[in-house]
Amino acid sequence: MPLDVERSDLESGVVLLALTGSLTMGNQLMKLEWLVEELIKEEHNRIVLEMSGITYLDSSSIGVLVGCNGKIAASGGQLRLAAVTARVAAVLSLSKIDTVLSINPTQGDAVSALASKT
Amino acid sequence: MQSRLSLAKPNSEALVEAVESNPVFSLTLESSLESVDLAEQSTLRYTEAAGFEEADRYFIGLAVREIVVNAIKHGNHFDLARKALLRLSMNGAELIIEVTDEGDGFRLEDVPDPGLPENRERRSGRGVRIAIGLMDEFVVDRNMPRGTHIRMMKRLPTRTLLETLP
Repeated sequence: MPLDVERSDLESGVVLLALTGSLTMGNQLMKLEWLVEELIKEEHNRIVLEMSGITYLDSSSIGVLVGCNGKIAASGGQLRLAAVTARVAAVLSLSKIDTVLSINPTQGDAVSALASKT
Repeated sequence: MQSRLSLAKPNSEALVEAVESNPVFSLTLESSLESVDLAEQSTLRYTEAAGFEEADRYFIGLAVREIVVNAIKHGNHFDLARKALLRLSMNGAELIIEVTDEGDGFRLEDVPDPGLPENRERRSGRGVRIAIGLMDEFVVDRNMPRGTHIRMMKRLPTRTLLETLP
């Protein structure tokens, strides 16, 4: 299933990216990193990835998430993942990326955590 | 007695029949991204025929995906002159998955541990760790004069893989 990204700019300044489909190696995956780079250039560096629509991800996509996280952190911002499914959470745990990325149970929790960081 | 099934695009019904008669399924893979999807889809069909539940097939397919990516990307360096081989078989209640490439080989102990602080920002190296976590056994052998042979084993579980994961 191809990756689809829907962007919402919230009043708090937080950018919500709702992801649906699969996160696997390929050009679709790089589009996510390019989008994050564009957001940083626009000085939007508080970003939530809403993951409830991601049904599958592999280690290549985890590498991209690590890259996005590093770029956002270097700009003084923060990336948060929200609403990951049980299967995706299991893969994140096995890759130990859950010790690097901030993950919230719900989109609301993630947005609230970033909204307070101005 | 084992039979051998080798199909460019495996057919589900043929796989079901073959698994039931105790087969070995083998597939030669080009060193391209398309082969990754083909290997995973073949594994999903094979494991369905072998009796694995959907949740287990999902994670077994992911393990195969990770190891085939590793073989094609890091082993064969996307060199179309080099091939990878996927081999699936059942040994009683054990699913045996073998992936062979024509690369320079690697040692499991050299794969970085993503849990260590110095590796946390690394973008690569997690695929093998994911596969190890999903399988009951994971063995790496170096072939001579070159190539890597990975053998993974997954038992038909009494619980789904998701229930056993941390």
